[in-house]
Amino acid sequence: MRKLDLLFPALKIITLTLALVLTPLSLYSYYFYEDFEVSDMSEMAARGWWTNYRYGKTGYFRLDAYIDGDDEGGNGCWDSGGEDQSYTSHFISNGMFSVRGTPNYVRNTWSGVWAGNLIKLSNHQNRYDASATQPVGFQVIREYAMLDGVTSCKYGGGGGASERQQGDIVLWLVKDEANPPYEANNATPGAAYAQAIGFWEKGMAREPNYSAANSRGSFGYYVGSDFRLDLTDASRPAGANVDLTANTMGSPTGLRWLYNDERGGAANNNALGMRITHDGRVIRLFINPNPKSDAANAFPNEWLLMKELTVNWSQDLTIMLGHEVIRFDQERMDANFDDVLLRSVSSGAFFQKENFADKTRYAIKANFQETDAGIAEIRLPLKRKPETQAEMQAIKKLIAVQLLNKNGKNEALKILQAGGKSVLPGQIGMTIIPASKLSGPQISLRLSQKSDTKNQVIDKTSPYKKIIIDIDKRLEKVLDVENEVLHVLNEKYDSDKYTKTATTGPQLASPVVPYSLAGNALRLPQ
Amino acid sequence: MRYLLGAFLLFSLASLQANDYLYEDFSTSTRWFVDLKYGLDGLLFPGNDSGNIAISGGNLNMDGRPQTTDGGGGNWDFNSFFVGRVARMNNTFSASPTQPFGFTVQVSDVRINCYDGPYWNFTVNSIWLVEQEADIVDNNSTEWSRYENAVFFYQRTRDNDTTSTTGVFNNGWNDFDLSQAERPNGESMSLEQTGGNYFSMNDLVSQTMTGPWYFKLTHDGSTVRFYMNVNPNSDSGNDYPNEFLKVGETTVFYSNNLQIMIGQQNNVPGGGDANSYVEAIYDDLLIRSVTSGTGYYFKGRESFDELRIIPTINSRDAGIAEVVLRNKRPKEILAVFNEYGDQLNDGELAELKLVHSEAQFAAGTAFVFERMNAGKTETLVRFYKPTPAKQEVIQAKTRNKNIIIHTKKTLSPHRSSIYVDNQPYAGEINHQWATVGREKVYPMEILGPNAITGFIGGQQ
Repeated sequence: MRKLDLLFPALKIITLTLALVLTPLSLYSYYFYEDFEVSDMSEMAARGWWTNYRYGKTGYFRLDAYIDGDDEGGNGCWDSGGEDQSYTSHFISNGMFSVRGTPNYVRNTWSGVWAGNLIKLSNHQNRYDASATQPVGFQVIREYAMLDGVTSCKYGGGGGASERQQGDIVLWLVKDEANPPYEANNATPGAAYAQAIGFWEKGMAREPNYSAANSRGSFGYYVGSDFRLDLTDASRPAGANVDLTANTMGSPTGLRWLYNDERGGAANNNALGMRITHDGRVIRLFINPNPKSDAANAFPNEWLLMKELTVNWSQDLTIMLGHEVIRFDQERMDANFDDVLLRSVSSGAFFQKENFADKTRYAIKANFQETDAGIAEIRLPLKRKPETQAEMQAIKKLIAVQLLNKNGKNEALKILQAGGKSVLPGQIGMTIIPASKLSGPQISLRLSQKSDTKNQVIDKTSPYKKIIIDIDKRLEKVLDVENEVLHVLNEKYDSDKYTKTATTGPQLASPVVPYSLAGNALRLPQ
Repeated sequence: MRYLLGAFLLFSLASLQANDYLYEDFSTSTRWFVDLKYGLDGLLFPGNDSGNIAISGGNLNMDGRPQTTDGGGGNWDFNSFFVGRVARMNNTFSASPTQPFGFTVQVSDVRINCYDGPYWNFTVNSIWLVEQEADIVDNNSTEWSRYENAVFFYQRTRDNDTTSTTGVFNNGWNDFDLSQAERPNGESMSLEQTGGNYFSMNDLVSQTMTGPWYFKLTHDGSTVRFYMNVNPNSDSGNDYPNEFLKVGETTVFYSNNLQIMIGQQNNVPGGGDANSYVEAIYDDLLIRSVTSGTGYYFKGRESFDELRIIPTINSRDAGIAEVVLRNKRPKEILAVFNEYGDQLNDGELAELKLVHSEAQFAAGTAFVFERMNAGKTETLVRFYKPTPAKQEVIQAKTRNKNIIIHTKKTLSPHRSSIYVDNQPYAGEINHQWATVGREKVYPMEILGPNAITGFIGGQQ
């Protein structure tokens, strides 16, 4: 046998090993962007949307058939439109999706039914599966809202404005169904998605305890019934708390806007972002209270974590957007929406772990599409939160980070204790992220996102292809390296101007194990 | 050495236990916060209700409705929202596969009437399992406060319907199909067959569910299951067996700080109290575990695998009346040994005669049969227990509580999940049954590799 013949099997193994270890698998990512730059709603179907979809929290109800000309309240308010009332409508205006009116001003018979009018992304063409390695996250910008929960011609039989008068604007994340509740499928009134969450902003009236404070708007979510969010407990990406009821934007109660015009309320022209993410197991709700970095708004331009919910559904996801009312005597649930966006961090992120005598090394890389946000941050789990500043300093000294560029050259980055603040190229911002309800504490290592032109985000076109993190063995008392849970992110931080951020939240990187003759083959991502 | 290791194992078993037992006869209200104004939409104070919920006369009684416009108040403030009143038990519980939680409660004289009003108009009888919320203390707590983790079994009537629906609320109303209730042996049975509408409760058709019947709820750490026993006294005039028939289940993500609540709800205050109300009487709430913790190990013999089940049982536990082996077929069961194989409680295990039909089930036998459960085959090994005086349940008083099962040899005996249970089957009367559902038996390897190696590795 010639030497070459002997070499071939070994060469094959080496080649295969290199191919598997050095070349990330070609995977997928998610991207969807709707800018509503169309002339009217008739063009929306071609872009994948159902329009005028009469779905509310209670299910599918098309109430048009019940508009009968009766004057339910006896004072001329209903059926003819009433004081300032109009029946629900959708239209496009200035490149935004607009909803106006109320989906029920019909009859008292339908009080208690949450009647809605939505646009739904699908026609069964766009459905998304969420997992830890490829999470899903949709966001939308609310450009305008006037959520007046009560008309002056309140229903006479009910004793005036009260808690019962409610309506909302809502972003739904639902598990789509083969036969969704829809009149084309002969849905019975009230047919509902079995798995769904509605993220809402509500306008509500209240009497007799009818003070300005408790008639203000609120935020919450619907999972079978309504749950309110605690706006005083919003978490910034770096973990700090924000009280979203603080006085700013001309609203002494922050995001709790006074809409009721009978109590001095007015329309809200402040932009606000709503985002729902799903990592296969946990749904998270976020609010961005200042998505356009309005200088008159004291809140940060960041997506603030409001709620985490564990669920057992994660497939065939889609979204719906619109408005709902629970009665027929709301004045209006008007809003303009823009910029519906879904953008992944990467098309599959991987890490390789190597153990040395004195350190553990993580080499992280990913596949990217043009549309992916790219990696701007790595998060590693902590066994416990560092207790002192001295311990933080020690951690900083025991971590080393390098970027590997496409020419194979390493660039060592200087680690700063950033606390979520901006860092420059050549630097890494280290932040301790405190535990949330469903996640333990983490250490964040953030690359520069200074601006769109000045940054070190690793993406499809960046000169950097790999990030290498060395963890000193002495750190393993604090850092949880055994469980191999490592996430990549690209979040919007208020301190930075970088715009091409992800909407999906943290993406779990998959471990890549070198092929070995012992049969310990490549472990594919989930 | 072997015996020392065995003693260590048993000691360790005992130290793992967290056993629940509670019996509530409603002779006092000391365990309860009796009138919490809580419904699906939260803690709400309508200010005008005709509801009454009270512990008196040895029962938990309810009637009326939580929001009304009768009585001069005319309060429509919470119209469209589910306002409730509940009695909440102060005790908290936890659930896991090896120490599941569950309770039974007697229910009688249920009448749920809803008037002809708005389309979305309900009155509801509900039994809740919630995760305790520190913020919801009493009726001085903040209005609209919510239990974030909560499910409730419901019987509800809507808008003048002539029948009610039964189901579980867990992120939505999920009606049960009562025509597909499941017996303990896996057979399907309809709870709608007797009298046409056994569970119709609208007095417009003069139907009241007088009972008594028993409700059972179990929680194994991730799944809450719901059962109804509509013939708890083995009434010969009742077509149903004295069994807990499973009517539904739901997945939950909470298992600690569990609290029981029982109450009523309605979402429309109009229509008059005479036409809308929830009446019910509850009694005999019981929580009883199967065992205080049970371990097992497999030992490979030359021609069979030996499964040894080692329970810890106290006098309040129900004891083991059946063993469930997932992924096993009856033909794989070669022999079963327990204290009563020779019908003597003498401390020595003896072989039971295996029978495969209920007709042959008798003293000194083990009834081995197969059922499908959640798409998987499982084999049940039942012990004889027709009456309290004549029964072969492995209890606290059983001198040797171990159970040995010989199965056909397999390369992976540990793939079989093993459970123990004690529940009523038709023909049995008045036992000290468990209320928690099947209890998972844990592999004793968890107690230490050295211990188990010594225990099963040597020649016995």
